Amino acid sequence: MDGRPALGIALTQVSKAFGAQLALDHVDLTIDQGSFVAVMGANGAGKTTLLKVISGLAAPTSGSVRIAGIEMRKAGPKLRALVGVVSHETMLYADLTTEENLRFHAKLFGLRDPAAAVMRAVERLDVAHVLDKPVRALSRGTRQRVALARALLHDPAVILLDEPYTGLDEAAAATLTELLDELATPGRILMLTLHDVVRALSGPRRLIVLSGGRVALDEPIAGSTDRMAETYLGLLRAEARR
Amino acid sequence: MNVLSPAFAIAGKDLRLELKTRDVVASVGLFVLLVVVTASFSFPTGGEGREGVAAGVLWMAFLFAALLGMGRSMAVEKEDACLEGLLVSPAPREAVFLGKLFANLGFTFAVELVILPVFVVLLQLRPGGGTWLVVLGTFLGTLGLVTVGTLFAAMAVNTRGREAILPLLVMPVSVPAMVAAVKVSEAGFSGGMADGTLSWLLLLVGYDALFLLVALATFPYVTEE
Repeated sequence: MDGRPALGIALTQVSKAFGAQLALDHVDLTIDQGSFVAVMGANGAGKTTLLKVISGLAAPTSGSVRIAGIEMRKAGPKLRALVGVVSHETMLYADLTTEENLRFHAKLFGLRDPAAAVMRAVERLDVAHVLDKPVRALSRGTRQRVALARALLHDPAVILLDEPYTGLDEAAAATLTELLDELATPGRILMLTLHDVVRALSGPRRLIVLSGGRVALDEPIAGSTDRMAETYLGLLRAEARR
Repeated sequence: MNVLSPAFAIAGKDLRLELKTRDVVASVGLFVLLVVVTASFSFPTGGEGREGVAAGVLWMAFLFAALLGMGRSMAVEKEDACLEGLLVSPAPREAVFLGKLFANLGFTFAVELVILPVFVVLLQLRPGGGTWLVVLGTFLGTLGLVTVGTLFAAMAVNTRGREAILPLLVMPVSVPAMVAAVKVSEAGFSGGMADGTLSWLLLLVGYDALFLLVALATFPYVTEE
């Protein structure tokens, strides 16, 4: 990470529609380097779409997404090299082994020494012992760690995690939390979506709440988090009544 | 990042997957073999025009087999959001298309090369000096089918009933390639170039080039949400 130019994410008036459904509605966001952001909201609030728009998986219907000042639409491949994406689906081929999956992704990212990158990633995620096992044979928690290893192969400056805790047992979730804390360095942007308000307020340093595709709350997490939790739950209740 | 390096990585990954599961080759190979064996029982052993009918039967089998293989190949990418894994990488979208195209072409053409001699023997055809033309026509026809099919398979992968939608999308567009491939194969089964064969070959080359360009230009939009 050291020596890289400062980077940030800037969304300007970003809207994303799927047919008549507006998933994001004129979202303005600035996320600075070193941020650790939790994105929350009810189902369908636009969390996943927000991450997809930032990762380049979805193109905004209007507005612009910039990473390090560069428009995503104009330099997609270059910017995607800066981003690591983890979702609740692993993006791993179940019939390939852990090593085959990771080597394949290392090649896709054009890494100079795929074997070394794979070893670094599996050691960091403590999954070296399953290198020769098919992903299909791994437990949900181990699969998620391998998925994280895949996303970290190229040492990304921006890490986007879409509901990474889904399906993890408490032990695996605790390991993931430790890892996220470790990854949240001043040189990185870490952004995750989740539903658990306690988790959202215990690690991340900023909370963004989406409601109906709009930013309903955007505050730093500091001091007593009870008020933020109450505000969030209030927003959820209001949305449920709609 | 260049286009070919990630494309070969994707094709290599598909080959590795296929070696483990044999999903595509087994389903495609068995289907074509079944059609060929069935056709051999009802096929006339003599008479004029046999080569044309044989070429028609062969390409019907190849078309459906290719559809089967391409649908399966893209379905693998849908499982566990693997396609998203390709799309969030810095590999250009064109490389993702080419990688899938190389893999689909490789599997389909390999099966066809195995089936062709069986077909010739069972249907008692005598291509002789036209063998090269049969192989060339098969390659060019398959390239056209697979180019169109890979693009449409990516479009259909997120739809419900994609197995039904893929043939509906591919078949109308692939008619020119099918007709030309049948004509070239017919000439090949008859022993070599005939009047008009060169035109059919050129049509195949033109079709392949045109749809390759169209697919490369549109694939990035097809895969973008």
